[in-house]
Amino acid sequence: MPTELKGANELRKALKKFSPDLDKATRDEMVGFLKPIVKLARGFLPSNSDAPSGFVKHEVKTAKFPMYDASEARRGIGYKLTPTKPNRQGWSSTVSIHNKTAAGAIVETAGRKSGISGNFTPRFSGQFAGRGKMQGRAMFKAYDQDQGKAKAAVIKALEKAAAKFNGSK
Amino acid sequence: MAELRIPIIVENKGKKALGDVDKGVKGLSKSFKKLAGAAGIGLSTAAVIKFGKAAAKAFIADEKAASRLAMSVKNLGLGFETPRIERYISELSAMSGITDDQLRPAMQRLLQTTGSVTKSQELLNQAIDISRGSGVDYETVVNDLSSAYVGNTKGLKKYGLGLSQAELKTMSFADVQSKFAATFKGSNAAYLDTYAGKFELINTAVGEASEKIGGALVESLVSAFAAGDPEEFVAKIEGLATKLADMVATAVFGFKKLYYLTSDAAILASLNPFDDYENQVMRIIDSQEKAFKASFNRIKMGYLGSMPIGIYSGAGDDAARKKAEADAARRQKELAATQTKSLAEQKKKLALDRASKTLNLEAIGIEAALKGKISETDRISLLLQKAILEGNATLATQLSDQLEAATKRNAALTAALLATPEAPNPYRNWMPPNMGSALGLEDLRGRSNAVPNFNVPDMGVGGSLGLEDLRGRSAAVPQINIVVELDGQTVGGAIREGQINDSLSGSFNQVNRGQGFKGAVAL
Repeated sequence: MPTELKGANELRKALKKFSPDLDKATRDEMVGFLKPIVKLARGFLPSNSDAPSGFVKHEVKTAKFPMYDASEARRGIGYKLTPTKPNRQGWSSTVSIHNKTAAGAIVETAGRKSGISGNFTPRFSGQFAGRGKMQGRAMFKAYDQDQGKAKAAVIKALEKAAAKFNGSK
Repeated sequence: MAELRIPIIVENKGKKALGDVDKGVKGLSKSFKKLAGAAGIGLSTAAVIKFGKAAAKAFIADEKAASRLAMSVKNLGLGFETPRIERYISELSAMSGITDDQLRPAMQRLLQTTGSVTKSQELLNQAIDISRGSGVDYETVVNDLSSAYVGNTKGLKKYGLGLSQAELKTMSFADVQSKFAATFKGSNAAYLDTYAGKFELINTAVGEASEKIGGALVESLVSAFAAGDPEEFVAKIEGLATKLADMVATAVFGFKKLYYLTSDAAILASLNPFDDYENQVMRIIDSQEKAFKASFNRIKMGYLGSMPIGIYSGAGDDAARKKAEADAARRQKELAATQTKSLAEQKKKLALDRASKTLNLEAIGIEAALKGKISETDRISLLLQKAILEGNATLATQLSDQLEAATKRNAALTAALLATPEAPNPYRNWMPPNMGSALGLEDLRGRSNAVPNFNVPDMGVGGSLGLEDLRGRSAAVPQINIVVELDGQTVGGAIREGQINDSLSGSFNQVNRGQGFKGAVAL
C-alpha cells in the first residue's frame, strides 16, 4: 500500500526553488534506495530466448498484440521522483516505480487473474510474488522482496529534508 | 493498461484541484471554440455568426469601459497619460490573468482617489496579489484599498492581517501597504504556477483576442458599407431593411395575384369578353398591398397627405403636460422644504449635543460630591469615576488599587470593632471610704447606710455684703434697686419722647400699639 505524505509535492517544489543542493542530496538519497529495486525488477524479466517465441519481437507482424523485446522491456522499468498527474480521485504519486512498456506489463501480470493455464502463460518462467493488484513477476516481485525497506527509507529521506529545510529558514 | 506503477509516496490533491483543472479545460475549450469560430474552422455558419455577435458585444463593452476611463483621466487633467495607462492595463492583463474589463474600472477608481497614475499602478499591482492571496474578489480589494487610501480602514478587517480595529484605525496608508506586502506578496505568481492559474491566463488571452476580432468585425462592417461613418451605416441598415420588407411584400402579393389569375374563375372570365374579373382582382390586391405597405411603413411624425401626424398635440395633451410639469415643480419644492427642515433639525440636534458635551452633568456631579464631607472610600470611588470619565487609564488603575486597599482596611476595621469585648464598669471595684473616724463619729462604724453630715462651708458672700445674719437662712433674697438713665432721663421717658417726635415728623405712630390697637396711623 502506498503511504500518503502530505505536503511532499510542495516540499519538493520548495527544495528545488530555494535549496537546490538539499534537493539534489535528497534526490540522490532516494535514488539510492529505489535503484536496487529497479535493478532487481529488470533482472526478473525473461531474456528474449526465455520468453514465448511468438511473443518475442519478430518480422512478421501479428495483429496489434505487443511484441516483447527484453532490452526494451528492461528500459521500461524505472523510477519517478516527480509528482504524477492526479487521478480522478485526486491522488498523485510523488515517488513511484513503473513498468512502462506494454510487453513488460504483460510479462508482469499475464495469468494473474485467469491463472497459469493455456498455451501462453505457462511459458513464462518467473513465479508471481505479492498479493492482489500488487502481484507480479518483475517489478511487483522486486518490490515485494524489498519488504518495504525502500519505502521507509524514502519517507525518512523526505522527512529529513523537510526538517533541514525548515531548520535553515 | 500500458503502464504499471507502484506508488511509494502519494498525496491527495483533492477533487477540487481536479475540478479546477476540469473547469479550466472546459473554459479553455469554449474559448478556443469561439476563436476557431472566428476563423471559421470546423464550425457551422450559425456558430460563426453567433461568435461574431458575442465578439462584437465584448468589443463594444470593452470600448465603453475604455472610453469611460479615458474621460475620467481627461477630467483629472491627465489626458496625455491615456495611452500609457492603456498599454499598462493590457500588459498587466496578459501577465496576471485579470481581464482588462476588471482592470479598467479598478484603475479609474484608483485614479479618482489618488490622482496619481504611478500610485494607481502600484495599488493595481498590489491588489492582484491581495486578491489572489486572500480569495477576495479583485473589485472589492481595489475598493478597500482606495477607501484605506483616504483613511477608511474599516474594510481591511476581512483580510486577516492580524491587526485589531483600533490598530488599523491608527495606521497610516503606507503602513497598511507594507503590511499587505508582507502578507500577500508573491501570491499571484504562486497562483499562476498552478494549473488553474495557467488556464486563467490563457483564457484571458483568448478573450482579449476575441475582443479584437469583434472590434475588427464592427470596424470592417462600418467601413465596407458606409466608408467608416457609423451613423451612415445605421441609416443604410434602416434603408436596407425597409427595402427588404417592401420586396417581401411585393413578392407575397405577386404570388397572390398569380394565384387568382390562374384560378378557374379567371380562366372562365377570360373567355367572356364582358367579364372584368382579372382587372377587379388586380385592383383589390393592389389596394391590399398598398394598405399593408402603408401600415408597415407607417409615418410616425409628419404628414399623411394633408393630415399632420404626431406633430401637433391636442389641448388635452398640453394640459396634461402642464399639470405634470407643475406637479414635478411642486414636488421639487416640497422636497427642498423637507430637506431644509431636516437640515435645521440636524443643526439643532448638533448644537444640543455640543452643549450637552460642554455641560457634562456627570462630571459636575462628581466634582460637587468631592467637595462634601465624605469617607475615604467614597472619595477614592468618586475620583476613580472621574478618571474613567476623563479616560485617564493610568490614574484609574492607581485609584482602583487604592480603592481596593481602602475597602480592605474598612473591612478589617469593622471586623476588629466587632471582635472588641464590651468595656467593663470602671467603678465596679470601688468601695465607699470609711468617713466616720475622719469626722469623729466612731459610733457609725458598721452602719453602712449612714450618710455623713456635711456643713455648708462659708463662702464669704454674706460677709462682703454686710449680711452676717444670712448664714443658715437660704430662703431670704436681698432686694437691690438699679436705676438706668439715658441722657439724664429714665429709659422709659426717653423712649416715649422719641416716639412722640417721630409722630410729629410724619413717621408712623407707634403710640398705644402695645395696648390692643392694631395697625398704625400716619399723622
